[in-house]
Parts: sequence; C-alpha cells; structure tokens
Amino acid sequence: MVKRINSPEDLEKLRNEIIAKSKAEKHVVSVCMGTGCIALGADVMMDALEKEVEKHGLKGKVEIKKVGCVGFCEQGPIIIIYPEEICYLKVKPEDVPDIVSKTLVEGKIVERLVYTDPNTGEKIPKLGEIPFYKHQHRLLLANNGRIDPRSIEDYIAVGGYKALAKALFEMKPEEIIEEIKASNLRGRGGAGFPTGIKWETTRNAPGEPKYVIVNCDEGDPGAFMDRALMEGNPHSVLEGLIIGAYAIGAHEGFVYVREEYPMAAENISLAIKQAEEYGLLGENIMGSNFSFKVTVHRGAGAFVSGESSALMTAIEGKVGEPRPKYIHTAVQGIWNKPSCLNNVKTWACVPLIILRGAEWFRSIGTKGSSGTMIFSLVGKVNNTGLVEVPMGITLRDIIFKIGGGIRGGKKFKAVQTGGPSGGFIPEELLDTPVDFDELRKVGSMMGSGGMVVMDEDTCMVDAARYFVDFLLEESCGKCVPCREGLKELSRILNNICRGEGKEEDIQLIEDICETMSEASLCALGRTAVNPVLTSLKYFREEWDEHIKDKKCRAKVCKALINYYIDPELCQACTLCLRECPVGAIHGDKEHVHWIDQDKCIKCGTCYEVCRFGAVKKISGEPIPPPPKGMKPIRKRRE
Amino acid sequence: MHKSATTLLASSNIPSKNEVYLFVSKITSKSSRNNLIKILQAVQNRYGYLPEAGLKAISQFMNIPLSRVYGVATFYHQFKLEPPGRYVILVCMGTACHAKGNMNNYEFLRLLLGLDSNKHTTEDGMFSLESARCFGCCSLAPVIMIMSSDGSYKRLYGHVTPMLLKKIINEYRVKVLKEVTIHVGHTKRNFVR
Ligand SMILES: Cc1cc2nc3c(=O)[nH]c(=O)nc-3n(C[C@H](O)[C@H](O)[C@H](O)COP(=O)(O)O)c2cc1C
Ligand code: SF4
Ligand code: SF4
Ligand code: FES
Ligand code: FES
Repeated sequence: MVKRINSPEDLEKLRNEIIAKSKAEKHVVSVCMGTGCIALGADVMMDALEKEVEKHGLKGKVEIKKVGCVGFCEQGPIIIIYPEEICYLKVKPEDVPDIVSKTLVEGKIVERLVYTDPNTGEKIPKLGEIPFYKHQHRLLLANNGRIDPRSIEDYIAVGGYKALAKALFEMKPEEIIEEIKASNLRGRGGAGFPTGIKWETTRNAPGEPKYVIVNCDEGDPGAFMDRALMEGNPHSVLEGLIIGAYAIGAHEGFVYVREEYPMAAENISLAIKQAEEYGLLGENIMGSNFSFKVTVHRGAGAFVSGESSALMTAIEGKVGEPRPKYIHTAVQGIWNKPSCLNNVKTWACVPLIILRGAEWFRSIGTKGSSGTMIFSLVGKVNNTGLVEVPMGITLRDIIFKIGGGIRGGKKFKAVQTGGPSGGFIPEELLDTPVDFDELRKVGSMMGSGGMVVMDEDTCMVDAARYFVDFLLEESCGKCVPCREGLKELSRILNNICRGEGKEEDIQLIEDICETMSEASLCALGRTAVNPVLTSLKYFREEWDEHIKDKKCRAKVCKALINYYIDPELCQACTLCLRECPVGAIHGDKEHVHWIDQDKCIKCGTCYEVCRFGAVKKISGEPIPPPPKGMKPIRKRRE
Repeated sequence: MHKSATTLLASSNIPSKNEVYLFVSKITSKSSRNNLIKILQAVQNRYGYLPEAGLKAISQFMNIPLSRVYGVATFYHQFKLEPPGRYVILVCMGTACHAKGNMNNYEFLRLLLGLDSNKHTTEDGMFSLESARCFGCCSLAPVIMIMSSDGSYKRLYGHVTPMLLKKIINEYRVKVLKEVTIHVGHTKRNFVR
C-alpha cells in the first residue's frame, strides 16, 4: 500500500527518498517501448537485454527502464544509456551482448550502433549531439526517454506534481488563470485559441458542474505527437489537467483517446490510478480541500469527433457530430454544462508555466506564439520523427537542419502543415517561421503539429485529392455546403487525376471552395478547402499538365502513367516476370523483357523489384513499342 | 462428411444468436451509465464485429430504437457489421503512408488475396483487408497492421513493399493452418500440409 501524500512537504520528502534510492545505480538503460519501436522489435530486444544483464550479474548496478517514444522512431529500436547519454540506434537482439559487455561493463562505445552523420561520416554517440536532437528545444518531450511512463515515482523524481503543489497551496484559481493568460499560451489542438481566456470563460460561465477535457483524438492522419506524449509522459498531461480543473472550478474531467491508440489509453489510465493512490487525484488532493476525478473515454474513430462540440456529444454516448456554435462549448458543453477542452500538448504546458512562470514561457518563441511546438515530421525527409522546436523557427530549419534534408537526394517540393485543414507550402516560402499567424498568412495553419514533407515524386493534384477524399469520408454530413461541396470536389479532382479534367474545372473548384469556406457549420468544412486552394495557388502548372497534357510529372496518378522496360538496361533476370500479379510481362532468361500494356494493371511491383532500374515510369509521352521478336539482352560489363 | 478446414474456419467466425443475446444482456445490466458506444465496443471486442443479433439485443435491452443503434454503429469506422477474417490486415491510409505509396500496397494485397471492392474477406475466412486511419507510426511509413479478429493479437509492420507483404502473408497462412485444429470424432486433426 502506498502512502498518501497529504501536503506539499510529503511530496518533497517522497521525492528525496526516490532520488536517494536511485543514486545507488550506476547506469540507467532506457529502452524505448513506444508503439513505433515495438513495431520494430523492441520487445524482443528488451527480453534479451534483461537476460544479458542478469547473466553478467549486473542486476542492481544497472537499471533498465522502459520509456516512451523518444521521437526518432524510424531509427528504432532505440536504447539510451545514462548518465553518459549514449544513444544506440536500430538495436537488434544480437547487439545486446556487445552493449552489455562493452558499454555497461567496460565503459566503451559500440561504434556500429551509434548515429553516423550521412554527410561527414562522423560517429555521434551522444544523444544531444545528433543533429536531429541538437536543434530541438525539448520542454514537453524533455522527459520522454528519461522516465518510465508507468511509474509515478519516476515522474515525481524529475519534479513531477511540484507545480500542482504550488498551484493548490500558493495560488488562487484566479491567479492561475492570470498566469496562463500572461504566458500567452495558445491552444495546440488546431486554431491556437488563447488558453487563459478559454479557462476564464468556463470559470465564469453559469452552471454547475463544470468539466475539463483532454483532446487526444489526434485526428490528423499522419501525425503522432499527442500519442507520444500520452504514452511517454502521461502524468505531465494529468498534472496540467488537475491544475486547470482547480483554476476553472471543475470536479470532473475526461480524457478522450482515439481508438487507434491502445497504449496511450492504457498509460493514462494507469497514471490516473496511481495519482489516486498517492492522493494526487480524487478527494482532498494533497490534503487540500480540492477534489477532482478523471475518466478515460475511448473514441470510436471519426475525424470530426475531434472537434470540440462533436467530442463532447461523443462523451455523452451519442453520435459525435458538431453543433452550431452560437454558444461556445466553454459555456455549454457536455450535458450543456460549461466544459473546457484542450489539446494534450496544451495541458502539458501548464505545469511548466506554473512552475517557471509566464515570463519564462513568453521568452521562448515569438511575440504572437509563445513556447514550443511539437511537430511530427514525416514524409520524404531523411530524419523522420517528433521534433519539438521553439515557435518562430523557420520551416527550412526544421526540414533541413533537423530533418536532414530530402531523402535520396531528391528535390523538395512542398511541406504540408495542419493536416486536412492545412495547406501546402512551396519552396519559396520555406523561410516562413512556424507561428500561428504566419502560417495562416501563407494559406496553411499550425494545426496540431502534423508536418508532411513532399518531394518531386509527390503529385500535388493527387495530394489535394487525397485530403478531399479523406474529408469526404469524415464529414458528418450534417450541413449542406460541406457534404455536397466535398462530394463535388472529390468528383472533379478524381476526374482530373484520371486525365478526364476540363479547363473550366478550375473555376468550378474555386467557386465551390468559396461557398464551403463561408457557409459550413464547423471548421472541418470551412478549412477543407485549404489543401485544394494552396495546391492550386502554388502548383498551378501541375494542374494544367494534368488537364491539358494528360501528364502527371510526379508519376503518381495511375491513369496517366505507364510502366515500360528499358531494353538497354534489362538483364533478363526474370524477377519482374515472376512477380507480376497478372502475367503482363513477357521474356525469358536470354531475352529482354517487355510489358503487355493491355494486361498491365500498373501495380508497380516490377518497378519495385527490378534491381537494375530497368523498369521505368513514363507519363505524357508515347510508350515505346515492345521489341520486335525476341531481343537478346545486352549484358552489363562486370 | 467432413467440412473442409477452410469452410469451418469461415463459419467459426459467426457466433450463435443465443450466445449474443446472453452476452449483451450481461453487459447492459452491468454498466451504470448507459453508454451506447461503450456497449458497442464491448460487443465488437467480444466477436470482432457487430452481429445483427447483437444490435437487436442492444436495442431491446437498452430500450433504444434499432435505427439509432445502427446510426451510431455505421457512423464510426471502428464498428464492423460483417464478420472479419481470422486475421485482419489494416493498410494505413494516413498522409505519411499515402505519400509513400501505401495505396499501391493495398491494391497489391487485394490482388494477392483475390478480393475486390465488394469483397473484403477471403473465401476461406482467413484474411480480411481494410484500410485504416493513421496508427501514429508515421515514421515507419508505409505501415500495415495485422490483428486477430478478436483484437487480442496486433502487430505493426513498417516500410512495407509488395515483396515484403507477400512474405508476411505467407507467414500468416502457415500460422493460421497451424492454429486450426478440428475435431473429427475423438481424434484431433491438425491441418498442416
Ligand atoms: C474537424 C476537426 C477535428 C479536430 N480534431 C482535433 C484533434 O484531433 N485534436 C485536437 O486536439 N483538436 C482537434 N480539433 C480542434 C478542437 O475542436 C479544439 O479546438 C481543440 O481541441 C481545443 O484545444 P486547444 O485550445 O488546446 O487547441 C479539431 C477541430 C475540427 C474542426
Ligand atoms: S506494373 Fe504490375 S501489372 Fe504492370 S507489368 Fe509491372 S508488375 Fe505487371
Ligand atoms: S527485373 Fe529488371 S532486369 Fe530483371 S527482367 Fe525485369 S526489367 Fe529486366
Ligand atoms: S517509438 Fe521509439 S522512438 Fe518513437
Ligand atoms: S500515416 Fe500511416 S501510420 Fe501515420
């Protein structure tokens, strides 16, 4: 049975005890057990590590910690060894004996597992010196990698719940709200609404009880920053929520977690249970007279349910559809009571602001957007993963300094921020700083942190079509402009991608977009036009090529491309012939292969498997005719 | 007459009406705050989909019109109204995965499994193919997930290509055949060939 914490002094005492206890251990080995690393086999590697440590009799001298996502998932499974902060990447079970005998026993570095700079070839063993991490400013993610998310003691050891003690015992609710307002914290879930003002509205709204809610619906398809925070440091979100509840005067809260995130739901549920046991949640928190309880609610998978009013109806157990917002949910939300909804990251900022002050928070970032932002940097960059940066950093720095530039030496084409509500930003605007207002000026938005990098192999018409089709499926269908507008947009865009576009389509698209952005009920419909309009604005040539020349320069739109085998390069290895699912390839061991265009379904398998780069994609040009008779191959010189 | 292993596999995915009624009556009487979504989630967790009998039972026990139960069940992607195959292959259609060509992988799987736009489950009940929303593993794009129909087994695969998929599917084929044992008389027969 754990001892309840009944005062701020109790908390400090416990903290000191935990720290004193852990001093005895020399090395801490953090193994990332985030969803990404587990997919790459971290769990198997973990078993091997535990066995190996035991075999060397290091139990008690080395502490193995299962930590949450450290953000560099692509390089997983990842191990970080403290205090030296040695970072090993792509660790396989076979590597474990070396790690234990060399690093843990002899203090040497296993060179083959450390990060190698692709440009200089330099080996960089220290986590903080890897370019991907060096240019980041990790506040919210600072402890991912250092603490076991399933251990409240770990969180307390790094200063956890100190802010809560300060808020409950040294500050009045109004003072907390003033502090948040002074920090200029803006919502990290999409629109960037000032958090302090929202809190104040709910606090002052008539009606009891009041509710506070964490939005972990993370609907942006292609982003995972909220997942990582919930999985890797759930107590930080919970602490922020408790402080917010106290400031707002709420006694009940909800955490809304999307269906696809079982581990996030599990970890936050465990955090809630632990906090209750320690007296940090429930009745008379820390011996104060403030009581608060939290329930986890699992979403059932609908993008629109991430919208505030829809999310609240979903918590009530109904179909999660938005309602008109003549009255804001901050005033009338769940069961028509005042309800304050914030994004995961917004809540996690709160303890930091309370502890270090509004002025410190404002000193990071820009005038209009203070603090840091976590982006999920994915797509065609060399280093994909989670990056936490101060607001105001340029897109160029994120993509080229942290992301390490474009994969495979290809050419950058666009970066998409803000998910389906955001837009594409072209090369000439790469020096735009990330800031709520600046991103909106270029037609995109901050959104909740999705950032997808696209290169010359991405078709901008197809990318716009992708978001329209995504939203068409996700629109709740309640309002006409959104429902019918998306249907029509989807039809036109799909036609263009199929090579059936007409010149007058562009005007039609623009008209539909105008109606949708003005007349839709919720932000889904109003912002759905952003991907389309930015693609049109910055990449008009590609649209014209699709419509007039029936050409897709990125060679993505299936109807506009063909596969063909270059007779000069084919080595007649028969691989493509064997792999083609429809038997469209002809040839044999002695002769150049060729594709029967009438049979080919353009699945791309031959392109994928050919080791000689003989299979080519072409668009907008005539297909070279198949070789007459059987053409013998021209062997490559060895 | 023996049923073949595969038809048995397909029919074993379908629970009996009585059992469904019993299960729903149990869970609906337990929950204090009658939350339709939670009940539907429980039924789906149990059977891997929402059997028609289950929706009727929910409507009856919770005193909610059947049309509303259907309304909620069809609104959310999570809910399935058809019995899934033993293993469900989920192909991520998130932005990162789309940008890295997961649509091609989806098409490839469809061909490989002999499915079309109306048919999502293989004849033998072994696999279902579905598109999914982002798994939050976008760094590993393109990503697929394979899970057992009851959700007890889940595995993500990153950086997939048609070739890798072919290999993975074959592994599961072997796995399924090993799992399926049928009783003929008193002897247990194992269907590994
Ligand atoms: C269609 C739609 C989907 C949304 N999805 C999310 C989401 O997944 N996560 C989120 O935090 N906010 C989402 N939002 C924004 C929320 O409505 C709300 O503004 C936000 O959660 C408030 O938190 P914040 O002030 O901390 O940003 C969405 C909005 C719309 C219109
Ligand atoms: S693209 Fe697919 S169908 Fe066409 S030839 Fe290549 S492997 Fe065969
Ligand atoms: S895989 Fe390439 S080299 Fe081999 S037969 Fe096909 S086209 Fe020729
Ligand atoms: S899951 Fe391990 S780094 Fe993200
Ligand atoms: S986009 Fe596929 S996992 Fe996120």
